[in-house]
Amino acid sequence: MKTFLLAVSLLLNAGFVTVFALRPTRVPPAFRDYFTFGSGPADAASTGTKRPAGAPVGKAATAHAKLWATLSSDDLATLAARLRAAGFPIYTIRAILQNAVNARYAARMRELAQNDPNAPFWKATNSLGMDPKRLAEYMQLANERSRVMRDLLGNYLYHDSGTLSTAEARQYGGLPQAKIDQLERINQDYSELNNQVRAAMNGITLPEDREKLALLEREKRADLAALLTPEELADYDMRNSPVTARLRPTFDLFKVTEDEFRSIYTIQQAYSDRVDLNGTTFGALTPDERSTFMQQRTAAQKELDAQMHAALGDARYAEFVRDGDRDFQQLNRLAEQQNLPAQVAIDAYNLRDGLSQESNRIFNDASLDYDQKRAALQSLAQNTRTQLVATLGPAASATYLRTADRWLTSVERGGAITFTSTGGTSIRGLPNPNAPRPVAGGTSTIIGTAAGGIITSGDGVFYLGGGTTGSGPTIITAPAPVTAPAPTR
Amino acid sequence: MKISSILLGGSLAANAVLLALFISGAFAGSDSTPAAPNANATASHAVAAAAASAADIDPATWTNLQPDDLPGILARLRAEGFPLEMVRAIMGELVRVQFAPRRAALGLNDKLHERPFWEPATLDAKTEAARRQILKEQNQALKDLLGPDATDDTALANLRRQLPNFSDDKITAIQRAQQTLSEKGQAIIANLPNAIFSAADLAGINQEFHTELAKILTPQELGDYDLRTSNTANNLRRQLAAFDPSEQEFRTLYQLQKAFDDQYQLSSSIATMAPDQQRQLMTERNQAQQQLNAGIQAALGDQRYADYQRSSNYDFQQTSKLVSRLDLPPDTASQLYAIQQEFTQRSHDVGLGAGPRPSVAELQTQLAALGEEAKARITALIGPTGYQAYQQYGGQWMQNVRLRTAPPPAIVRPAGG
Repeated sequence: MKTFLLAVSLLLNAGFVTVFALRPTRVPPAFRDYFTFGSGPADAASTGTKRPAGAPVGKAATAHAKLWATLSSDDLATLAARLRAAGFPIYTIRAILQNAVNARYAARMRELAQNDPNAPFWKATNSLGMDPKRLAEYMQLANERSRVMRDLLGNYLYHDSGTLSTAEARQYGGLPQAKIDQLERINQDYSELNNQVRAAMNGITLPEDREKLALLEREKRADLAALLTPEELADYDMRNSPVTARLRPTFDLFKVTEDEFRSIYTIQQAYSDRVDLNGTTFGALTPDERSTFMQQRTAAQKELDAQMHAALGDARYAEFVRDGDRDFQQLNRLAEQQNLPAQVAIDAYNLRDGLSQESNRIFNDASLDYDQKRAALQSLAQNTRTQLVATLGPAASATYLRTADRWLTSVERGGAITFTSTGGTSIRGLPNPNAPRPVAGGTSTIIGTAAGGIITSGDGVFYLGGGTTGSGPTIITAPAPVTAPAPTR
Repeated sequence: MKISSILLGGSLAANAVLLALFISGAFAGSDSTPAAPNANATASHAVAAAAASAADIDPATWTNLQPDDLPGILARLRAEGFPLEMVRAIMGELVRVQFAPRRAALGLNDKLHERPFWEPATLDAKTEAARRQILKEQNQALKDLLGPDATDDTALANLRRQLPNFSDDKITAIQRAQQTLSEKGQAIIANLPNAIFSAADLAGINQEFHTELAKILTPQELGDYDLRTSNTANNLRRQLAAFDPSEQEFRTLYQLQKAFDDQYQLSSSIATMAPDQQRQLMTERNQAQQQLNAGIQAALGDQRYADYQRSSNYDFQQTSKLVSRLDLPPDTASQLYAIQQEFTQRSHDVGLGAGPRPSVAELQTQLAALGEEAKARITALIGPTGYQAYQQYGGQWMQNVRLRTAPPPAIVRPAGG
């Protein structure tokens, strides 16, 4: 019996010593030294760091080189508390915790993001962008990682002072911290639920998917409404609305008071609600639905323009349209970079508009023949280019002409250009009277892919489908159908 | 007293001491489960436990590391056993804080905070340029301090995985060239507002990169590098996923596709061409595409070419996803593809037979009947819900089984060209 007890007791002692040797953090700090082995030069070698000159060696080194071992912990809250107790400033605590948290998720996230390393080089493997399930898991891990950091650091996550960052202040306005925390949890929870639905969709949107996503959106709105007062919710919506995000570049230049902004926002939000696809995408619509949507959007756009015009008046509305034009924003930025007055950007922009008006006037001028129109358009484009260089100066004009040359060249080669209100361009090319014309009632001429063609008949010109080649959709260009009488000379 | 009794007594005493250490160690700072995503569940216990051990820690620990002496603290952190990635992170923050007074002098936070929420949180061009300069100097200061430890080896590890037969020296040289390429690209973007850089700029630095690689690698190695990493190779791998090529098939197809891409890869420069030049280019391109297809057919043989055409057909790829989503047998996608091929051909043949040319009304009637027949066959295969979805995922060809009498919509190009 005694022998048996002795054996068990010795085994127990051996077990404790082994545990303490393998996990020194199991031991109170005061006693850890007795259970930590190989903590001299060998340790430095194993961490890949050289022992700095003058560093203590031997027993002194064993006692001295323990700081990380003393502070580190698998429990992140413990690690944070120890770092604080050791007087580490918040920005180093944040960096260390970020590192520790990343390390927990890095392996799996890297695995998801990378292609299969064992796959032969000639085989495709599902990448993050191509596999909705992988992407959903990746996003879930990223959300989890963010939540862990937020739980550990609170407002110190982004800012050394612990106050809201500028981005958060803009996003949440005057909401109290407790509501901000709950708001973020709601957003994160619904983001994860959305990801799960989208992962199951596997890139295919069926009507049942739209219903699920719509249900999630309704439930999220209900949760927000339960958390925030109606005024707080309206303010939160306005600050974070896609409408506000879309308008921000315009308001970089077009200065408004808060009341003016709220008026503009109300009009723009109403338009957005009218053309909202309720969670689906344009590509997911049937052809008939797309056609209906485009008609509705065109009508809504006209109404929007009229309402904005009425709200702002002629001069301010013209400024609003101009300041929302990406081309004008680029000109402004260029002028600022080159320390040029703001008027320079306006003058350059007016040159562009002048080019558009004049090119259309020339195009429509019945008193000019084709060659005269070509010459006039060429001269117009060249003069505009020269004036842009003179207005913007060599540095700014060289940059601006990288994009402006596209439409200048189109005019130079016989086109009339119109800049649309939605930021696009429309170009009409002068019909060339010397170009070969299709024979009425004749044989078909194939242009583009083997699956596409044009058939002419005595009644006009018809098109039969574009089709696809074995390598996916093919761009097809064809001359504009000539159904009108020959142009006047 | 017998020796065995003494031994037993001593061992039992040791048990008691070790047990007491184990229990008090558990309160001092227990190990929780390695991954603790549910921080709330363990936080309260961990905080309570942490409070006990934090009392043992000298609050002057950080000060004693002398953080104002950057090279010195770097050495001390290493000596104290801090892992390299922690050292890198801490030094990054110390350098950032060192540059804080210069950022404060720019008034960055105030300038951003001043702007109302409906305006963008951006700085004026001068301040933005100054901020970028500070960041550049900050990054350089960190590189100077950490030397080779400044960057982690993720990029190197990725390259090693992609190029398993390349020596370490060549991998390192390639990575340096990639780093230079990246810096040049960033410089182009940084100097141009709103990223107005031209495709030519990027093509230029990509060409420089390739020329640099040609100095590092042998011709065969360079070919191997392109085979594994080029856009042509990556696109081909994606395109051929369902085709499941052998290595030799892939190499053959790659060479054919590369020859085509090198000459006819479409870029934004096409927008600067005159309309007749564009037409000329597209005609030549489409002819070259047909030659490419013929070359692929000759290389693969008829059967494998048919597999290739089907698997790389975008409509087929979409249909395969839809069939999978509807939990239908995989072969259903092939059956739908066969229906597509059949009806596309039949629609082209309408009105081209012998005899007088049919009128437009007759053409429309015949094509409409063809469309209805196709719809019935597809619905029988995948059901009415499946048919509705099919029109969006692979069934767009059905729109072409219709006669159009309206001209195509006007070309509307995005702003700037």
